[in-house]
Amino acid sequence: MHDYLNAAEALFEVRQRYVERFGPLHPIVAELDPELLYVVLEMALEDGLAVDVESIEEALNEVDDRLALFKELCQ
Amino acid sequence: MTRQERTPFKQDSGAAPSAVVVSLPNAGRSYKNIKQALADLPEITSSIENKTGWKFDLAHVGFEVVTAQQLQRRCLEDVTRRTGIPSTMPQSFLARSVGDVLLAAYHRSVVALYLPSERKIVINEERLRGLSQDAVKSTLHHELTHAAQHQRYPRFLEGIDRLAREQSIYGKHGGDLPVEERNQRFESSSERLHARMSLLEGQAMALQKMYDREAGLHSEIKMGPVEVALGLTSMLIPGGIAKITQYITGQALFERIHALGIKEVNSLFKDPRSVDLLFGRGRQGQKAA
Repeated sequence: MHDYLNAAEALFEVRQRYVERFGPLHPIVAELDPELLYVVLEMALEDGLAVDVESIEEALNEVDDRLALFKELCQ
Repeated sequence: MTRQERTPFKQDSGAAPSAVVVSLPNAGRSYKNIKQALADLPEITSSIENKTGWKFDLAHVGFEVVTAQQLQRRCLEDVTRRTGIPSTMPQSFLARSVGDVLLAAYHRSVVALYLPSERKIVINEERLRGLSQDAVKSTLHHELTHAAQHQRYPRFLEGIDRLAREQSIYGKHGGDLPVEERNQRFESSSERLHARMSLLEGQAMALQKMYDREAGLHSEIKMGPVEVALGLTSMLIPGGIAKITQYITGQALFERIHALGIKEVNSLFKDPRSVDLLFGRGRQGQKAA
């Protein structure tokens, strides 16, 4: 991805292939950084598996618990 | 033909202009974007110093522009020097060929890497073409954060090398240990390795994002989770998406801890075991710990 145009084109193309195969993108996936989104979709297509949204969601929901644990460890 | 150039930059404090030495492989090219970005190094380093509270010595970091192929070789040499293991690739011919293809693809997509064993940032010449100065500056901020982590907490990085060595040994050989125990140890070193990498990458990504925002950069490149999740060590372990998830969480968690203060961030680097617990793979990882 050497410039904005190429990067946008590559992302558009991989998004299209993903949607054709697995259906619409979950909002949590669609909001990822473009470069990260590109790799996640590429990997999902290569593995033949839809992105595991649940584990991403669960992982992000855990951030608060982990922060609480960190504060406990600091005391 | 490689040439060396000194790229001058102005000191923030009005002191005499200084310079950084950069090796450039192609005498016929001007390398305008990298030279312009290197001229802004004082701004980038003071951003890192302000955000981390660490003293960062730029004189101990080298810069070199290399081809994608050289970057791949240098990266493997760096891993070998750090772990003492000649290659992190699987031993069989077929697996090795597949690994080489993946590696080549990975390195063609990487803009720059910090090599701890050389204390040098190598920049991919093929990726440099067509990149904006903003993208190069943003990338340098990310890689220089890794250099700063190395300068401030060398033992934390040594711990990572030790885990990579352990992981490789248990993955390939494991001596006379029963298979089950070997697999368990492989999993454990792999989990801890990725938890600690999540902290290093989480910090570099988070600070890069802050710098991009503050400096008003329009960077088309983002380094970080992708850089590591597709990197040398994780390539041998199944579950790439799970690893990426871990790095997404790592960055989000780092941002929250960074907001608490510099002291809190430093406490993480001083206590790698707490990093294993906090940055491990979710509840599963915490249960395992």
